Parts: sequence; structure tokens; C-alpha cells
Amino acid sequence: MDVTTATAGLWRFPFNAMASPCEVLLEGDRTTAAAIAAEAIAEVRRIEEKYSRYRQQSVTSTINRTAGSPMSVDSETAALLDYAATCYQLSEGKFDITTGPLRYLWKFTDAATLPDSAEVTALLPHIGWQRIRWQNPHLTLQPKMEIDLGGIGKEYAVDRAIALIKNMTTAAALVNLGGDLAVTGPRQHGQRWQIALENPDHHQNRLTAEAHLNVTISHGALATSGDTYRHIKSHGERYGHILNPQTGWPIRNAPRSITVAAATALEAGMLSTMASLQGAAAKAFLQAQGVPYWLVR
Amino acid sequence: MQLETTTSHFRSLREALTLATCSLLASGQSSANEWQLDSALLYYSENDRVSVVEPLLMGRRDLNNGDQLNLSLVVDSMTGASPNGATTTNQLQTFTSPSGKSLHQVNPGELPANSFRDQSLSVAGGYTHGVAPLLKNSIGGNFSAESDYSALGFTDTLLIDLENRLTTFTLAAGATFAFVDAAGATPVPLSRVNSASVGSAATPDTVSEESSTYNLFNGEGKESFDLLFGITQVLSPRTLVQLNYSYTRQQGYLNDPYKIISEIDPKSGDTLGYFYESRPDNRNSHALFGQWIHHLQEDVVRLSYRYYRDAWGVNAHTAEIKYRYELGNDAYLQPQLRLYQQSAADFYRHSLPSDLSVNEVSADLRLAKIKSRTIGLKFGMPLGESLNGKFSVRLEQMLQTGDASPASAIGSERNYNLHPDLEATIIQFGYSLRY
Repeated sequence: MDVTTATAGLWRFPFNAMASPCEVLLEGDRTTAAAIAAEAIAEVRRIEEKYSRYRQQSVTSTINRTAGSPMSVDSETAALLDYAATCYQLSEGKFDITTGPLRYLWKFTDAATLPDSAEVTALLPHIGWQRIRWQNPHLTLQPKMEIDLGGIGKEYAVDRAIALIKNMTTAAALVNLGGDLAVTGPRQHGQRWQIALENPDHHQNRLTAEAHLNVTISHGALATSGDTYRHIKSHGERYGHILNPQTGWPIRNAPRSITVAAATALEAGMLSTMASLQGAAAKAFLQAQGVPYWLVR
Repeated sequence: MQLETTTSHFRSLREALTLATCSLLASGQSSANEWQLDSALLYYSENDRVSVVEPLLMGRRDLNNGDQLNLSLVVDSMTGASPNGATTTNQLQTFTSPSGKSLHQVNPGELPANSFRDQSLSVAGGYTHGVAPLLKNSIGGNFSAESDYSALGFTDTLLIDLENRLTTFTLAAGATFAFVDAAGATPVPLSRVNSASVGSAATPDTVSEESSTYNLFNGEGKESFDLLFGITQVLSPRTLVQLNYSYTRQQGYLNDPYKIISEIDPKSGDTLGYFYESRPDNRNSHALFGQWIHHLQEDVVRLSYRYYRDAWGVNAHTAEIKYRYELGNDAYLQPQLRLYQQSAADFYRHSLPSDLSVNEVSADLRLAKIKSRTIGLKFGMPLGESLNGKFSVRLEQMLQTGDASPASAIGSERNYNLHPDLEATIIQFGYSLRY
């Protein structure tokens, strides 16, 4: 394991998971910190292996292969599906884990072009949580439907890793999975954690904008939803990577980046995602939630 | 970039979202690094015969990686009298206790029984490991000891899920190595019982004592090998069926060292003396078990049937129905009914006429033709802080009947009930807790 001392008495264990640079920061003596970090990293990898749609053996791949016939899922997957169902309801159908098939048409790379609108429309009958039969633990997807827990998996892994660390130690820790992060509590002597958020403006204009925005937290989590690197430009309009499951097209006028602070990474992540899904109304949505947020248009 | 915390016309989802998040994270934790403890106290009492008090403690821990650890401890304390196999007769019968320390008299017309007091201890442990996403392997070991019996067993079970997780195959193999070391000495089958007599008065009976010290891995050996193949199939979100086939081979000293058989006069039926029983030194058995579980709107119905047959000629059928009636707030009432019947072993005889020569014979009533019915009622409810504990109480009553006047009864035997009914009451208190 790669380890560096971030500051005095704080150990940093960087690793790669879920296609992102990740890290665990821990206070305390190095040997103990390394052992605890190893457990936390193993938990993140366990969740990645179990739910990654890029792995043939994952639960997600198995569920998608079994689309069309009934199946029953284990209790952890059932809890995640229950959570996804609640988020679908709370977002009035905007947060939907079944938009996966649209990814075959929408490729948000530098050279990408807009997909054919007839093709998008043809996919819509295979999208929509309301078409899924879910009665815990029995799940039936209609043929050609897919689920993707990517929208909650990373935040879930952050919260699980934090819970695991809290079980093992009282030393302060931070778990950061590609920018979605949570802490176990304040650092020793009540210090707050210094977090540097990436500024999307800097990516666009390196001369005028600051590279980072500094945020400090002592409790809870931060999660970001944004399309800094993932969008298509066509005829002067930006098409962000957050898709509307009802139309199959990207949400219009979504902010480029929304960071939310909440008690857990799951809540922070879901509030920032739901805000993005509101498009132009993202700011009003966030204000109604009464949570601290950082929004870049 | 701006930091804002004012309000507007959107409805706040925070409370609902917090609740959903807590429930997701709690469900994850409840299945990892927590102990599920089950405890029970069972009291079993036969009319005028055996009574057993059995505390039981089981612990299960779900580990972070999905593996599972199981441990259990059972302590039995048994007292009472168990029929020793001798037939009911019109004479006074005197038996010496198995340890040879005390005498015990049985009046004419009474079924002879051995008084005993014993304790047993058994511990078991198992570990279930997820080998692959759809394959689990479970290894287990168990040990049990009584003053005259000790055993060590091992099992290995493979659980294979089909990809849709609606079908599970179970493959299991096990072996048990046991030792029988009867109080006094383990008798030679068909040898004459010297410590019993007919027709002579002796000192009145006292309760015989068996050694309370454990005598481990001594005496006559017996081994048992088991194989099991099972399928569990989810038929619909409400219905599940299970089918198991199992094969068991037992070999070695399969006698009950305390069971004897009366030698009788082939004309008068009067008892002449006693022999120790003699069973074959191996037993192959097959069992087929089927279960159907159906969830109604709230209630649950369970039907099961078991067919058993072995090389000794015992054929048995067990049918059971349980209906779980939900009372609300997680409390339930479950009436249950079990019917059982078995045919006698080929070598079973209630007594042995002196002109008959046999190699294998037993008068153990458990190998006789038997019918029984058990009715029961179980009540369960959540108990304790934050309702993570569960309390239950089960009450069962069993009535077992046999052939009281078999056609093979001779002379004076015809005057007596050769297979008295057995009534038993079972009460079990259970409490389980997660922490």
C-alpha cells in the first residue's frame, strides 16, 4: 500500500477504485492506521466487485443477464434496491437506476456527437423503475432492461467504510472516493478537516479561476454531482451527462457542478444528484433542502 | 461559486431521505459483525417415565465478508425410567441397576423399566464461507458426551445457487464417530443377564445412580456416515418448496447396552430369564423429506412430509402442518399438528420363547410398531429494548400408541398390556437477541 504522511500525525493511504483516485486518511500510529485502512479499502473493493456493471460476476451483471425472468436477491442488494425505490419516489421519477441502456447511445467523450433522436425514443420502453416488479427479495426486470447502482454505489461505499472504521477505532478518519467523501468526526484537538474542492472554472479558464475552493468540515460528508469533463457540445449548447429518464435526453441547464454537505455521503450524493436533475431549478431545490451547498453554473 | 443556505418553494426531502439512508446503512450493519443469540429452555416429560431439562444456547455471527460463524451448546439433564425391554408378567421381577449398585423390583402386571439419571453436553461449531458469488461451503464439527457415550462428528455442506437465486442445491456429507461405554460394562449381545431374577423377593428399589463423570472415547465404537442432496425452489414470491434425500450408513456397536429381552416359556408365557438384546452391526437408511411453505397475505402455512426406510425393516411416515397466524406488531400464534407412524424392525419381538433360536433380537419399544400424534401451540412476540429481542413459548402434547395385545403374545402375556401408551409434554421457552 502506498502511504504518505499528509500532515503530522495523519497518514494517507491512496488507492484506485471505482475508476477514480481514492484515499483513506487516518490519525494515530502508523501500524494501526495501516491495518484499519486496509480493512476500509477491502470493504470498498468488496462493494465495487459486488455491484460494478463492468464485472461479469457482479450482482448487477447477474441481475441484468437475468432480465425477463424473476429472481431473488440477497439482503444487502435488497436494501440498496429499497433505497433506489425511495429515491425514485422522492425525486418524482427523476432519479432512476434503470437508465443504463441510454449509455449505449450517449457517449460523453471529447469527440462525441448527439445520438439519433429516433434511437433514443426506441429505447424508452426499456427504461423506467415503474416497469420493474420489486417485492423484497423478489425482483423481475422486463427483457432488455438494466439496472445500474453506480449512482449510489460510491457514496454507499464511503458510508460503509466510515462505519467500519468507527467500529475499529476512535481515531479520526476521512474516506474519499473520487471526490465523494466523509469523515468520522473532528480531528484531534477538535480541528476541522480541510477539503480542497476542484473548481470547474479552473478547468475552463486556468488564468482567471482558482484551482481549488477550500472547505472545512468536522462531521459528515461532501458529495459532488457535475459534468466538468463529461459533456457534449453541439451547436453552441452544452449537453451534460445527467440524463432525464423520462425523455432519454440530458437535463437542460443543469449546473456544471453541485457539491452538497450532509450527514452521510449517501444523502449528500443523492441531494446533489437530485439538484442536478432539477436543471435550471437546481438552486431553488437546494435552498428548500436547507443544506450547505456549492454550485457552479 | 457561491455558498447559499436560504429556502424556497421546493418541498424538503431531507427527512425522508435521512430515514431511507439510515435504513440502508442499518440493514448493512445488522448483517455484519453482529451476534444473533438464541437461547431456549426445553422441558420434556413422559408420564411416569423420562423427564429432560435442556438449556440451549446458539450464537451466529455474520462477518463483514459475508461469511458466517455458528456455535451452539446444549446441556441435557435426564432423569426417570425407561422401559428396559423385559416383558410384563404375572411374577415379581427384580433388576439390578446397570452400575450394579442397586436393586429394583417390578410388580406383576407392570412394565419393567430402568431408572436412570444422566447428563449430556454437546457443543457444535460451523463456518460458512462464500467461495464464489453463487457457491457457499459450510464446514462443521460437533462433540457430545454423556457418562456412557461420547461422539465426535464432522460435516461439510455445499450450497449452490442458480443465477436467478430461485433454486438452491444442497450437497452435504458427514461422519460421526461414537463410543458406547455402558455403566458397569458394555454387555455382549445375546448373553444372559445375571443381574436380574424372576419370582424372588429382594431389597426394595432405590433410584439407581449412573456415574456423573464423562468417560470419553472408550468402549464399543460405532460410526455413522451421512450423505444429503437437496433442492430448494422458490416457486413464486409467496411459495417455496424444498426436497431432500438423505442416506445414512451406521456400523459398529448399534445395541442399546441397557436393553434386554425376556426369555419366556413357549406355552405358559411365564418369564424364565433375560438376554441382552442383539441388533445387526450395520444399518443403511434412506429418508425423503418434502416441505411446502406458502405465505398468505400475512400468515404462513407450512406442510411437510418425511418418508424413512431402513435395512432393519423400519418404514416410517411423518406428516406435519404448521399455521403461523400473525397477531400484529410482530406477534404470532402458531398451531401445529404432527402425525407419525412406523413399522416394527424385522427382529423386534416383545419377548423370546425359549424354543426359538435367533441371532438378532430386540424388545426396545422404539423399534416396535408405533403411531403417534403431537399437537402443539407456539406463541411469539418481540421483547426488550428497541424490540430487537424475540420471545417465544411452545407447548406440545404427544400421544404414542403401540400394539398393546399382539397376536404373538403367549399364555400369561395375553393378560397384560404389552405396549402401554406413552404421553409426553414438551414446553419450550425461547429468547433470541441481536447485538
